[in-house]
Amino acid sequence: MTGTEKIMKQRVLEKKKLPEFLDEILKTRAVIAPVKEEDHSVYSPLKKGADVCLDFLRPMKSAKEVFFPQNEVMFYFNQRTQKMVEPPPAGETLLFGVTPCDLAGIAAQDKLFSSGEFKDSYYLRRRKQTIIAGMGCPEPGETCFCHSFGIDRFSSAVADLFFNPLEDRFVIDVNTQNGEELVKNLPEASEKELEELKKLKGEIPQFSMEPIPLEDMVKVVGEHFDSPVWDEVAMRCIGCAACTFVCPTCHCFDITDETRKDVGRRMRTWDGCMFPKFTLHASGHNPRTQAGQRMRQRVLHKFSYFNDNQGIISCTGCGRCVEVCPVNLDIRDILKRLSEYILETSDK
Amino acid sequence: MKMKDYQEEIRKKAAELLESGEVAMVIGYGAGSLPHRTMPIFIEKPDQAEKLVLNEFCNNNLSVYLSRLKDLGKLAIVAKPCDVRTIVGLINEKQIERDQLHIISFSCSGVKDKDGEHLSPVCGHCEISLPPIYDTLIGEEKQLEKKGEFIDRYAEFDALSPQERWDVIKGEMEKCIRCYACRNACPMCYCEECFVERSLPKWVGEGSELTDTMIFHIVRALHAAGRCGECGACERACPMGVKLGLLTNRINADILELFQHKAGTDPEKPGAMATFELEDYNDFIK
Amino acid sequence: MEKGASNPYRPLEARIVKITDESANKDTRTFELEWVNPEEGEQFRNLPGQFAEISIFGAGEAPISITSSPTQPRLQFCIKRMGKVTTEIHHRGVGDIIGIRGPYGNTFPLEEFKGKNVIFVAGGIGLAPLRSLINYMLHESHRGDYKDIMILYGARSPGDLLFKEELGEWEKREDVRYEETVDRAVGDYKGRVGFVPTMLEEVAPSSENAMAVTCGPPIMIKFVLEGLTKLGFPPDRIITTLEMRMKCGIGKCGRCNIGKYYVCIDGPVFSYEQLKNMPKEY
Repeated sequence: MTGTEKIMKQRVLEKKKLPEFLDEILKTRAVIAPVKEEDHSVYSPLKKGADVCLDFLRPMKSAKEVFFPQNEVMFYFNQRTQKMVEPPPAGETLLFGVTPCDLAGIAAQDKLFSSGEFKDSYYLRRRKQTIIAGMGCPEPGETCFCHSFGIDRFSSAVADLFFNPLEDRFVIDVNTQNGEELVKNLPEASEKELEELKKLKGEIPQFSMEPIPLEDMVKVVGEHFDSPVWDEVAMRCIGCAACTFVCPTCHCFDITDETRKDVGRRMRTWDGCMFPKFTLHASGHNPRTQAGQRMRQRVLHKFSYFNDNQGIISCTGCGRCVEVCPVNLDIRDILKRLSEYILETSDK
Repeated sequence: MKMKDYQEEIRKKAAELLESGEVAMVIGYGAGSLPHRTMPIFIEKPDQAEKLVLNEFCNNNLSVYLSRLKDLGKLAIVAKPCDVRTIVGLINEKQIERDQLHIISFSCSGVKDKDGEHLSPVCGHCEISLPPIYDTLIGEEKQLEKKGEFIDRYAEFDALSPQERWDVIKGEMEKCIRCYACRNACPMCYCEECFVERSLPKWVGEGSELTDTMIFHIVRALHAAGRCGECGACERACPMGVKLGLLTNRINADILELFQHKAGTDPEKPGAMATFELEDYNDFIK
Repeated sequence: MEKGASNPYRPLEARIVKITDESANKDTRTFELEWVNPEEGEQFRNLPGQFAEISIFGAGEAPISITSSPTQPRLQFCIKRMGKVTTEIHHRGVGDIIGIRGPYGNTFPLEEFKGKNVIFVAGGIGLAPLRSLINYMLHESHRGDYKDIMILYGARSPGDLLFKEELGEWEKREDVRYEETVDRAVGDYKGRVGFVPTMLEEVAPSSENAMAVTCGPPIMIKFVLEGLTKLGFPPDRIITTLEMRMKCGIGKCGRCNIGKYYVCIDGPVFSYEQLKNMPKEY
């Protein structure tokens, strides 16, 4: 984002006009937005603007599945002729209502999939065809700790547009030309509305906890690789991937082939390092058989290794993992326990 | 006597068992990091017994940890009556020995759902409030009624036609993200390698394609048939709110009708599908 | 979407032109390939140490180290039948087409070997990745860059010795010292009997101005590293290549992540010095 984008004016949209606004966009591109599903919401394709649901703090699953779907066909093949055909592109899309924590998740995944010698063409193609509209957060949830990562309710990270919610209207930040195209017919924000937004941004949100001090802790934690503290914190882990699949930054995947007679497809599907068989070799050797080893990998990968390689911590403090864990494993408590452990052992 | 009155007694008993060296570890509930939550804890020293709690948010079935911890020696476990049913199942299937366990149980008036307000649906339909076996019974030995409002969905489900039921189940399966929290929370799913993990041959595809997901859940429900203790751990573990009880518990109702057997209530009787009796119905043979 | 280079997950087509059974029980075979599209082959420039993902439609992919040296005319892979994909590869015959993605991974540090003595210590199928480096070094255009070359190789039984024809050639060469051992003798085998680490101790190569390269089963590597250290090889002059569960081969899927390294990008070739600073999760 360069300085030139800043000259795009902020726009305004009344909340009651949101369905109409989305219906208009649906005429030329698909729209994915939070949609109600019983007692929660999920990012889902909209059939009509009125289906959008912003009642919940954040959707149950993160926005990563728009660019990194749980099931992605890499190509179709014919075993007899050995021919390969790649699937057609998904098409132009607007991803609407993305929370700041999920925007940060997209930023982290952008780094991974586009870094290094090999770029992930599937992720990047979806990314290129999607305009992202973020949405400001009204107030933190019980399990939110995004403030530990410098993310606040109005962090717009990679978004083309960002909807700041006032009482009855949104003030829209326009960050890119692509975003401008979608909102150019909306009225510009008035001085009064900008003042209101400024006042709103000045309010300090009430989190349920202090931000976790990460920088030094993460470096030192890596030095305690062989400590029994990992087994201690992971003892109740049952080895499912609930935390992994709802996480905005987790990105491990598997590649498998599915066939029916001669034809088939090569699929990319989500996988997780918390599964006991994740690192199982064909020979039967498994470097990580214990829950403690896997928890250590998860924590160190997210808070240390990924940071070493990509310059971003692979966690956005969204708190979903804390909510969904069946045995109430709480990453915040784990980090706290690790800090305590470091203090305990450094005194020796 | 309310569940939280049992808390002191459980702490005393746990400290006693550890002090005397009778057990190597007590598996129980501890305070959770969120309101309406508790978490499994593992106590090895008597002074840690203070951490044990008991309240209406103690929903996990702790017997899922028995197979991985049994090498430590004799274990004590805090178990609701439904949890004891799965312990009985594990003993039947030789996954753990009866004399390697000290079961601390109590007469149960139900636990809350994940929302912390309603009674868990499994509890609403549960007719068992006393554990089938135990070593220590906290509180009185009497049948308690389950207290609280719950959403009864079985009556509604049972009234549907088979096609309608299939559509309901399909709708639920569409929410599944194949995280396997249900399978991993289930004490009866103790297989070293689950059928979904096999690659030679590959029985089920990975990812969340609906047909694969339905095969996973239907086959798992059939594997659990006659063994499922109706503890509700699977449904409570699910992050997406899939109503797994509609499969697992309804199959249990069928097993009761066909074989007059309720899993995990009699330590001498193995699961209905694990054995064969001459009296078994055979009117499907034409 | 454009074909080929822009999609790193798309395999290139290669035809099997020769299959050699390497082990007596036929569980290990060398496949020699030629490119279906020669211009794709032009772009596939592998150096010793690298691997490729072999793709079989319907079965999946498996990461296999490239056993041929770039000095050899055709690409070769030595594959042991272990799981789903390798079993399917073994069912393929001459003329069949398979997919190749690569070359991936880092290479042996060729510059560091120049002017030094090189000692290879290999066990079983561990010889396969080292062979690409051995044949590279022994090639007439490169041999002069290196001083004394020693190859210490062992297998469980005589039938398990791989590349038997080539072993004979190495033994005959004047500019290579080749020593062999088997865990147990069978039939009329007249050679040395004993484990590879024992042979290393007996032969006791000098560590002066020398580098060691080793690969084999984890237990063998453990003892060989100890043995080499005892002989005076410092950790940065012992090189090994790691076997690891991999999927994408390009550092995205997370499977081969150890510490901040991805074995498919930062490895599979590592020095013992690097291994010491990595978590023991391999």
